[in-house]
Amino acid sequence: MKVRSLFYLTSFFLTVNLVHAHHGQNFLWLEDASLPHHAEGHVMMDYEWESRGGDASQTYTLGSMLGMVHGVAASFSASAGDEMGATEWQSMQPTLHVAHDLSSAVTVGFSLGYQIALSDSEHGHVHDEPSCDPDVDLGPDAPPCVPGGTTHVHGGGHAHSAIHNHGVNAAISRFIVSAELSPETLLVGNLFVVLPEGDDVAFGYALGLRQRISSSLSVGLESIGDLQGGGEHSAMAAAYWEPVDSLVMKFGVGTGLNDASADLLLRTGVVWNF
Amino acid sequence: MKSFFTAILAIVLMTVLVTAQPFTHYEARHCHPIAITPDGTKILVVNSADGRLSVLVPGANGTPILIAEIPTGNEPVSVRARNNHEAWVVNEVSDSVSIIDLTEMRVIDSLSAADEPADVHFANGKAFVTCARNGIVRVFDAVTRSPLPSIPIQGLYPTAMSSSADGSKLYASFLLSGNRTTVLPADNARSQPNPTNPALPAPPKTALIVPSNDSRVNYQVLDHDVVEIDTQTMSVIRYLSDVGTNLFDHQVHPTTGELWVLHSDSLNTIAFEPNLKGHFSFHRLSRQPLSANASAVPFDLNPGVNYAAPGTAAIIANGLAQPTALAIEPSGSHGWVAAFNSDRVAKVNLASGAIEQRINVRTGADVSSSAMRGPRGLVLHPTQPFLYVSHKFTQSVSVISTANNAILSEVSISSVNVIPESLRRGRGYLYDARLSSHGTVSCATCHLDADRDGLAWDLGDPGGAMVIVKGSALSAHITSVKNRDLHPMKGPMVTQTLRGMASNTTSVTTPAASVTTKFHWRGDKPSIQSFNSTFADLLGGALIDVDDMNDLTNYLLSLRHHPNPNRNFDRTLKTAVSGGNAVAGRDLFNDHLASHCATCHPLASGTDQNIDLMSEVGGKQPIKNPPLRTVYQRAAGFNPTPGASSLSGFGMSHDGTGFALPKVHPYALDELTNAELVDVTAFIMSFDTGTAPVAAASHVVTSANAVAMSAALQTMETAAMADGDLIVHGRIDGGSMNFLWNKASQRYQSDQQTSATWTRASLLSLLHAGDAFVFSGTPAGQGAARSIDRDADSVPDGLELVPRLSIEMLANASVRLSWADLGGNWHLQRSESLADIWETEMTNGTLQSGHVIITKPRSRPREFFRLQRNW
Repeated sequence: MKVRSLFYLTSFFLTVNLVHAHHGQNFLWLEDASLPHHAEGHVMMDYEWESRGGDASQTYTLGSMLGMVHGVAASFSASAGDEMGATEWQSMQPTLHVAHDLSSAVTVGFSLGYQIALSDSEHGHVHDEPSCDPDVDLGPDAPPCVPGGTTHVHGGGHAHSAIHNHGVNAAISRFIVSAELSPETLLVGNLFVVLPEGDDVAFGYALGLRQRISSSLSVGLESIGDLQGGGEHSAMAAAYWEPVDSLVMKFGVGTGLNDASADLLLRTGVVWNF
Repeated sequence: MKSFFTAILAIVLMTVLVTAQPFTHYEARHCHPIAITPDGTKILVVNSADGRLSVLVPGANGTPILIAEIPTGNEPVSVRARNNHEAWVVNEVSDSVSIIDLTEMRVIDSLSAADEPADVHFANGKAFVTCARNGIVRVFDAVTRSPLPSIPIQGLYPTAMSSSADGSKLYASFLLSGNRTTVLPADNARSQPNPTNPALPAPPKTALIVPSNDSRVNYQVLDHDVVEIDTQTMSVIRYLSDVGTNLFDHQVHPTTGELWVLHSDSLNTIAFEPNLKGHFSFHRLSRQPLSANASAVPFDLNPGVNYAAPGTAAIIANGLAQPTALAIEPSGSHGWVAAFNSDRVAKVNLASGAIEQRINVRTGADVSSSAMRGPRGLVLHPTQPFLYVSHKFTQSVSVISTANNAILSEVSISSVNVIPESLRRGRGYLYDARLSSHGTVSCATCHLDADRDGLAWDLGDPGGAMVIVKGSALSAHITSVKNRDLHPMKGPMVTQTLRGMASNTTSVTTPAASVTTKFHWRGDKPSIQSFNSTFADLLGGALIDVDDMNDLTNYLLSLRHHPNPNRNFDRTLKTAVSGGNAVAGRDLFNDHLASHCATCHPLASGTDQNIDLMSEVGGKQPIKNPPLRTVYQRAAGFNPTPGASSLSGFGMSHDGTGFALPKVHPYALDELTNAELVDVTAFIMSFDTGTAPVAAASHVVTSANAVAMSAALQTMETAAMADGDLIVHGRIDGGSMNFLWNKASQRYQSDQQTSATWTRASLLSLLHAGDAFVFSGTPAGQGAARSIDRDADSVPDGLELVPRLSIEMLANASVRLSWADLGGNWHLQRSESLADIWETEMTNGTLQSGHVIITKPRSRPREFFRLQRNW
């Protein structure tokens, strides 16, 4: 209970870097290399909804980032969600960010965070195994039938793919390249390296292109996916609206690009810069 | 008084034994089920359901007289006479070949074969046995029976064999060779056309069946139809291709040396059920010249039929469907063809390919499918003008005059029919092509012997209606029930087996609406009875009666799978299968913290009957979690990697695209190491089929090998305690003795007694030179009827009444012999002196008032008569 209270308290103030969720100041899925200056920062809030075969999942994220010194920032995020209406999960993630300008147009960055899984079982999630009929022959290879079912604890959380995971303890890092192709056009690439606790390292990518079309409105394309076979690949069209200088409102609609991915994705976010 | 009550108790116990379990069987794949000795004195016919070889002698006008029913292994499917005194019987389920002495009428040896042996053929001093599931030809010295090196062959399910006249070349055909069609994955295929039913939503993206020469196919589909083998070097000479889709039988022409092949040609590149209605396969007899690169010349067995026009009774009356047996006359002018699914035998002019005669074997008052015979094997008498036709369903033999093409007689090959009447009635509805619009197709056209044809078919319907079935996302542990909307344009689906459906149960009980039993890949049929619409929608006929559909359902539910050969004899898992450890694989499969395998594929069958979340497995439309019991049969035939040579055009998943175990479908819920995946593969390849290995095993024990067989018999007894029955058929001192292993007392009970008193040691002490016991496993509940109480009347066979032979001298220099008919299991023998050999009296007699009557002239001054039991 203490852990859960801490989660709700901190999630109101702090920030996020969940791999699939993930903030980014200029994008929905991507993180770009620009960091807040010393004593500046932002607070953000994200919501994502996705549908797989008619069953929906959703994720809520709150977070903030604070500039430490030039080219260095720290963030903290808290996320919660449910898997298709059933499996609930929560996590927190502190992250350290560094960035370096290679030129006036190209910036590289790196972030390293640790996702701390929180749930009723502290780590992982809990669900009920279906009850079974003891009168049915289970054959020679099955474990014993438990009429009425059993409560079942997963220690490792739930993962859709190599980098899309939550409720899992994991070290998560991104290598970031941002390139201003023109004053209105920003191209960003992220390379993910995810090391879940007790599991193999996973690699992923994200690519995004953002085009400013007016002083307050930009549009973009974002994609994200796994670099292992059989993983997910998704793409999204997004709009980014800045009604005032300190506020960015983002909205995206996406779809999976392969069978393993979600059918439909909706994502929205708000960033308040201070 | 004590013995009286003991007898009553034994009878009650036997009644429980016999009635406690429903009758099940394996639907034996008859290949060459009938043979005749070279001298024409004995007709040999397999009796699969009863595990026996029936021996008949041709009597007056060719009419066979049943004289012996010799226990063999389980589910005999082929028989060949090596000479006048010895027959070899292939046992499909026991994976063995029984060698039978036709003089002593007993098994004298048993040879081990690989999984699912199909046929035996003698050539060049050797005996060749096709082992269908393993893709090898096992070879034995025909005289010494010592094993010779096996011949590996590349093809799917080798079955029938024939040889050149000089025996130098052997030909084996592949039942499931395919037709060079394959499947494009949904992502590579064009979108489906718009539905013709305007109420339908857009169809799902599906795979597409295409010829393998389609430009989008970057691998080769081999289509190995027939393999030619050098019988001297025992090596493969070549493979013949492009002959047919499913090849049933063949024979080398006696004068031209060309190969004549019976086969079907499937039209599975045609999409949608309305386009296939009433006609989706040709049935052909093809002449295959054996010169290099020569193509087969096909002759349609249903020439001139206009399938675009409605069928008529006259067309149906001529239909010849699924030709399973060929017998070419010695002159080579004509060939006889058994049309298994049409209940007809045809005489074909081999010069022109013309059908000269169609002989209906479904004689009698009942012409419904319930009375279907199922002509499956043919053999010509070597000297007399008789064609013998073995019928699979009625376990009978018809005699056809090759002189006037008339049916002369039909006799049973079995004293006792072990198949329950309701199953016999229902069986015909699966096979009967007369129920189709033009009399040429049936359910069994694709479900060969209630199994698969190795193909995929697109039986979607653009004018159909949506079907809504309940399902849950149980893979994500979500038990809420949601609608699964199934579009009628379902795309290609691989033909599923109809075997083992009764064993596809699930122990998962919640949510009930989602895990209720359902059928088809998508679960769009709630019951077997709901397939009645197929008779109209696909076969182009009419719906069948509800009672008939129920009989068909009962028949289908009686079919069981073979045991999985990748398991140990005691049903445990092996630690080395397909390069992996099946025991470790089982533990990973069942460990929900390591994998979600068992979440969707719970044991024992591998299905929870649920239609899960299609996105979890990369689906384009909802699919039921399928059972995994027969994956071992379907793995490794399909290899669509670029540049590969693939034996099959279709793989393991619903649309035929999946090919790599264990992840036939996309799966990303858990990360297993490569070594773990190999272990899971080993387990899936060893998946229990619902049939314990002991239920199919068979061992011959003689005085010579009794000691050596001790361990095997101990294992059989132990395994039978849990998973089946154990029976023993013996030939001791010229007489038969039969026993049942009593699990309670762990003693053997003979058919001469009402209690089990024999230990194994005491049993084996009966063996002397020339004697033999056949120890066989059977499915649980069937042992008693297969051993000590054949007619299941709860009276042990040895205690049954014995008929008394009456001999009456008649005034007209004739003699009248009669005896009470006690089930037709006795035949009359005669001798001129008691020291002579007893000969079978060449007549079946007539039945009058419950008695068999034979009246014959007194041709000799002195004759002796006796009755001989057939088993």
